[in-house]
Amino acid sequence: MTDQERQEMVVTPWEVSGDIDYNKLIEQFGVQHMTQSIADRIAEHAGYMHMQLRRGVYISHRDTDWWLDEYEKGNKVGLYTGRGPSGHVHLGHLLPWFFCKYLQDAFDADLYFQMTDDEKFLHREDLTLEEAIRLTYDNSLDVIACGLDPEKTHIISDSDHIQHIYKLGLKVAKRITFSTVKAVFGLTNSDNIGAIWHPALQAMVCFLQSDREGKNTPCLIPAAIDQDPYWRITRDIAEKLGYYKPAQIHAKFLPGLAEGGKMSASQPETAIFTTDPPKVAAKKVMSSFTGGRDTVEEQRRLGGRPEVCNVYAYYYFLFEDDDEALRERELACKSGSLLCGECKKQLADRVKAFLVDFQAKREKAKEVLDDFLIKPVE
Amino acid sequence: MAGKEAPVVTPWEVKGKIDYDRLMERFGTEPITPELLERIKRHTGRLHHMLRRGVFYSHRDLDAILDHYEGGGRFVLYTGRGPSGPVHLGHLVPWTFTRHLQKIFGSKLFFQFTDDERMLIRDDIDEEGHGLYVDCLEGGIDCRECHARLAETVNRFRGRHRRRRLIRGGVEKMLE
Repeated sequence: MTDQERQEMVVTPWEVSGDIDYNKLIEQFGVQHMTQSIADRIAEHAGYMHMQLRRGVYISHRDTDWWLDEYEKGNKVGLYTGRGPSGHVHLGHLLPWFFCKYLQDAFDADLYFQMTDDEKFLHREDLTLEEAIRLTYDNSLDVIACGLDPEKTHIISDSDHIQHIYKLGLKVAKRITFSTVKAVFGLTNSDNIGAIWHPALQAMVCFLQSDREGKNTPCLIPAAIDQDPYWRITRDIAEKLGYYKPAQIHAKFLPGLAEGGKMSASQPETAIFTTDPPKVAAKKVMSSFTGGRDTVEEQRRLGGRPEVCNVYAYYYFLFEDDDEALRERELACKSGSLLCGECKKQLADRVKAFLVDFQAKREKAKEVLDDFLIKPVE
Repeated sequence: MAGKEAPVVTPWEVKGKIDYDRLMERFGTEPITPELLERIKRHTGRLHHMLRRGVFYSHRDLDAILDHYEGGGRFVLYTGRGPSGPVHLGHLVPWTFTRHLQKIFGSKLFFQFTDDERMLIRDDIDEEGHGLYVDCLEGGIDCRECHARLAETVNRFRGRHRRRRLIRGGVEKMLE
């Protein structure tokens, strides 16, 4: 394979494409690089270092150190993440959710999980509101299957649970001007007015726990960096409303199975969905892009290239927890002794086993779905 | 009287000397004609005094609504209020008329309290605001509290004689 021209990077809440340059993003978005000290402090409270922390899934942050300070002072802390329900959930979506589960356990934190069915409906021509809301409940099963605590997890459908979020949403909306939203999200005068309003609802969840409990609670948002524009405007208005600025910890995008870009629900062949029959998922793995050479002979001689290989990325981010085993795989690949076919076969087996287990948990989640939905303040 | 001000009629501000004919023209609405009044009268018996005295003077598609009703269809009523302070007699004018229509046509009324709009538009009503707005918020989006307040206000004026007198006073003021 020859080196291809680098594709232009696009990272917005609605589109992520091209070759992602994380250093450039960190600079562009004005966030801080992740530090070893933050990872160590999280691990200390959790009792172990999560694989995602060891493997550098979290590349940048804002004020996560402050959030930890507050916890260490004995203050309660909270978590917030979410999803725009526009289709099935894929493995890339699960990365921050698994991490939320880890943080929830480690910090005894409530997690507010927002399903922005309103946003998906407003932005997408092909999605009805009813379908977006149906996907909210379907995708909630995936959230629950990650093992979250029903007592401490509050799933919010923007449309169905508006009575729990509208008032605080208004207070936020009153502080954000049209010109700010236009500039930050690149809206134009021909965009619908719902798209102008939605950022207020996505911002307000940062303050929801504080508002519901009547006590200012530091909020940390584990999410991919493409959502950052929302937190920038939220941070600008937080203090005016008497709340703490929300902290963020940014996840990398899980690469798709094809070359380049993140795993994308809009390109089903590049993504493994939690609802894929395990055999179908295995087939997708078997036909994924790798760092292999054109011929077996060449690969035996030159070795593979794990640094550009998506199959290796899956081991790295999700399917090989053991650092030693991962290193052995990397060396075997580079030395030419492990060929792509075999390596893909092993990953396909792991993906299948993962899906069988996850789908059973997803099925069980149907019985407890209601326990996870946001309830009125007692 | 002071010098002529340019009239302003927007959802947030009404001031100056109102020229209703010009408003009709500007907003592109129709006058309520004697023919239309006759038609309404067939359903109401005696015409409501707000129609007789031209308090309600302009419309859009009121004739179409009557066509629909006369064809056996139902129609609903919708009005509302931005709750930013106590209700005054001027506010009661359309509500009283709405009650009249409700009775005659058996229509459901959807009454919207735009407490969100008041809060968003006005700088003096905020999180720590007073009066009806806060009551509305505390009552939740369905504004139960606000409805109760409204019912109370209306009750206070319920005495037939008293209500007539008050509304007449209000109408006279409007016709000045």
